[in-house]
Amino acid sequence: MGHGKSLVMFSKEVLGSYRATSKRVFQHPIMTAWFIILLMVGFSTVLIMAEYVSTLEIDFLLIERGDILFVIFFFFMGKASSETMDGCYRNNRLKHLFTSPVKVSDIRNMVFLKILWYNLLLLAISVSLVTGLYHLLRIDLYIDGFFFLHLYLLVIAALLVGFNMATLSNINKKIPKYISMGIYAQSISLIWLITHGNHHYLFVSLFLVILITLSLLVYLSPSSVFMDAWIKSISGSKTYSTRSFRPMKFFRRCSKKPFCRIAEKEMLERWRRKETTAVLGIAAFISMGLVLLYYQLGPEPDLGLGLEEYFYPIFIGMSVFLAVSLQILIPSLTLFSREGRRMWAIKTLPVASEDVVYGKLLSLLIFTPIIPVFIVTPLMVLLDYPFAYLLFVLISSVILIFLSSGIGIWAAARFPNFDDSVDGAPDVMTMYIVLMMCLIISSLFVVIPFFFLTTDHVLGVLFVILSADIAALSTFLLCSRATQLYESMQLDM
Amino acid sequence: MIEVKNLRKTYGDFEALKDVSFSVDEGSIYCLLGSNGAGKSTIIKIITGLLRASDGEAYIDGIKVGDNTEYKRRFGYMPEEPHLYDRITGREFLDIMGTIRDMDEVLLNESIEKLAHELEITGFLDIEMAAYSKGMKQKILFANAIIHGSPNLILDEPTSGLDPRYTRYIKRRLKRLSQEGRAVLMSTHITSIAADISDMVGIIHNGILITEGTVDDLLAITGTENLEDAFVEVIDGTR
Repeated sequence: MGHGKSLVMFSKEVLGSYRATSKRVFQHPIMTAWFIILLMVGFSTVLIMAEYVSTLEIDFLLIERGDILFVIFFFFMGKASSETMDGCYRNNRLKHLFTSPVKVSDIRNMVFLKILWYNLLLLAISVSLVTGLYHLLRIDLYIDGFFFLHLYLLVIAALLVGFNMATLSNINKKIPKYISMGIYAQSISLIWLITHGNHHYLFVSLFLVILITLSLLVYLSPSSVFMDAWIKSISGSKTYSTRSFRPMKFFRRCSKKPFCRIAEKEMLERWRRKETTAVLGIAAFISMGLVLLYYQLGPEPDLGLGLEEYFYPIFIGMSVFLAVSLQILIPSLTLFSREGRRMWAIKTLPVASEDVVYGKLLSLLIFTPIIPVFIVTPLMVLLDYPFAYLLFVLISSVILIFLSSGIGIWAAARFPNFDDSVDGAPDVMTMYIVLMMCLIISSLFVVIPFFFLTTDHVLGVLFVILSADIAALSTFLLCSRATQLYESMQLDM
Repeated sequence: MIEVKNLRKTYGDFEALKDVSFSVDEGSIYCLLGSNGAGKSTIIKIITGLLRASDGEAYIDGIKVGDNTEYKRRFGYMPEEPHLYDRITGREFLDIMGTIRDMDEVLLNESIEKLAHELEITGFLDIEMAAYSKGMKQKILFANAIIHGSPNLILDEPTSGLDPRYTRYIKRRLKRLSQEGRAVLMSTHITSIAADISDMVGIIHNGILITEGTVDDLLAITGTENLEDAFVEVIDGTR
C-alpha cells in the first residue's frame, strides 16, 4: 500500500507536467514545430562536427568515447542534483505531504521517480533522434551496442548520485555531512577512471551495476535522513545580506530618471544573488580558455579545410556567443517572469512601461563591456592580427550584445513563465529557440561585412559598423514591442 | 476621490464582476465587505490598473484609470498578499519606490525612519526581506502605501497577518489619514474592522454590489444589531 501511495503521487505529478506541457504546445504550435526543427539541426551539427573532428589528427581536439560518457554522466548528475534541490529541498509546498498520513519514504520515492522518469524520457528521445539522424546523414562514426548499454547505466547512476549528493549536502550536522559527502563523492572519480581506462566492456557494465546498487543503498538510507535534510533546508538558519552595493551610490548620483531606479532595483537583486560575480567569473574563465587554446594549438592550426586564418576568429565568435548567452540572453528571459506576483510593486508606480523595459535592459547591459575587453582583446593581441580585424571582432561582439538583449527582452515579454515553482526560469523550449534564433540572426548580421573584410579591411569595418547600427535599431524596435507586451500583462493571479 | 462606474469583469463565461458602481469621497473610508471570492480584490486590481475591466470605468481624482501613468501618482496601494523582493532590504525597497515617486531624498529618509519607528521595524530595515515574517512584510507594505502622502489609499485586506496591536494601529492611522482629507478604499472580510472605522460600507457578493451605506444605515435596513449580523442577513437574503 505504501509504495502504491508514492506511485499515486508520482502519477499526479506526471499528469500535472503533461497538462502544463500540452497547454504550452497548443498555445504556441508554431514555436513547438520550430523547436523540433532546431533541435534536429542542433543534433545534426554535433554529429557532423564529431565525424569531422574524428578525421583530424590533433590530440587536443580528439574526443574519446570515455569523454562523451563522462560528460553525459556529469550533465545528468548536475541536472538531477539541481532538480532534487528545486523539487524537494527548496520546495516549501512539500509541507502538505509531510503533514499528511504518508510515509516519508513514499515522498522521497515520488520525488526521485519524477526525476528518473523525466530524464530517462529525455535520454530516450535524444538517443532516438541521434540514431535517426545518424542513419539519415550516413555519419561515418563507429558506435557499438555497449555504448548504449553503458550510456543508460551511467545515466541511471548519475541520477542516483545527483539525488544522493543533494540529500547529503543538506544533512544538518556538519561532520557527518562532510564525511558522507567526501566518501560518496568518490563515486564520481570512479566513474572517470572506469570510463577512461582500457577496460573490457563487460567489466565496465558490471562495475556500473555495482555502483548503482551501492547508490541505491545510500538512497534507501533511513527516511529520517531525508526528512531532516528537508527540514534543515526549508527552515534552517540562513544568513541574509545587509551589505550595501557601493557602485549603486555612484549610479544614483549620475541620474535620477525612473528607468535608472528600475535598473538599480534589478542590479541590487543580481548583486545579492551573486550573479555579478558569476558574470566576471565566466568572462575570466572563457578568456583563459581561449589563451590556453592558443598555446596548445599555435597561431595557425592545420584543420585541413583551408580555414586556418579564420580558426581563432571563429573560436572567439563562439566564445563571445557563449558569454553573451550566459550573461545577457538567458538572464533577460527571466526579466518579467521573475517579478511574478511581485509585479504589483512596479505596475502601480507612476512610471512608463518603456522606462521599466529600458531600466531592466540597462541592468543587463551595464557589465557587457567586460565581454569584448576580456574575451576578444587578449587573444587578438596575442595573435598579432591587423587592427582592422580587432575592430571588426569588437564591433561584431557589440552586434551580438545588442541582438541578444533585444531578442531576449522581447521573448521575456512574449513568453513569460509565471510558474511559481521555477521562480521565473524560462522553459527549455523557449530558451533553446531563443538561443538558436539569436545565433542565426547574429551570424547573418556579421557574415556580409566579413565577406567585405576579406577583400578590403576598411570596407569590412564600415559594413560591420552599419550592421551594428541596424542591430541597435532592431533592439530598439524589439524593446518597443516588449513595452507593448509588458503593458498588456495583467496581474491575474 | 475614487469612482467606479458600471464595472464588469468576465473570464470566458464566468462573470466575476457585474455592473459595480460606487465612489469614495475625500476624507472618508469606504470598506468593501464580502466573503472570500466575492470580487473585492478584482475591483481593487482594476482600480489600481493591475487588471483590465471587461466593461465600465474607474477614475482616481477624475483621471481615468489606464489612460496614462498620471493616475498612479494619485494613490498608494497595499496588496492582499505580501509578495516582496526577497533580495533587497526593507529600506532599499521603500527608498527605490519613494524616489520613483519623486520624493525629496531627505524627506524620504526621514519618513522611512519615522514609519519604521512607529511600526517597530527599525531593527529589520537593513536586512533582506527574505528574512521577514508575514507581519513584517505587511508593515513594509503599509509603510510603502502611505509614505508618499498620495491623496487616495487603496488597501486590500490591510490587517491580514497582523497582531491585534498593529491591527489597532492601522485602524487608528487610517482614521487619522481620512481626517486629513484622504480617500481610503479598503477591502476586508472582517466585519469588526469595517464597523470600527468605515464611513461607508459596500457589501459585495458573487461580483454584485448588493447594498451600500453607513453602518447605521445597514443596521436599520436589516433590522440587526451589529454589522456581522447585517452582513449575514444581506448575503442570506440573496439566496
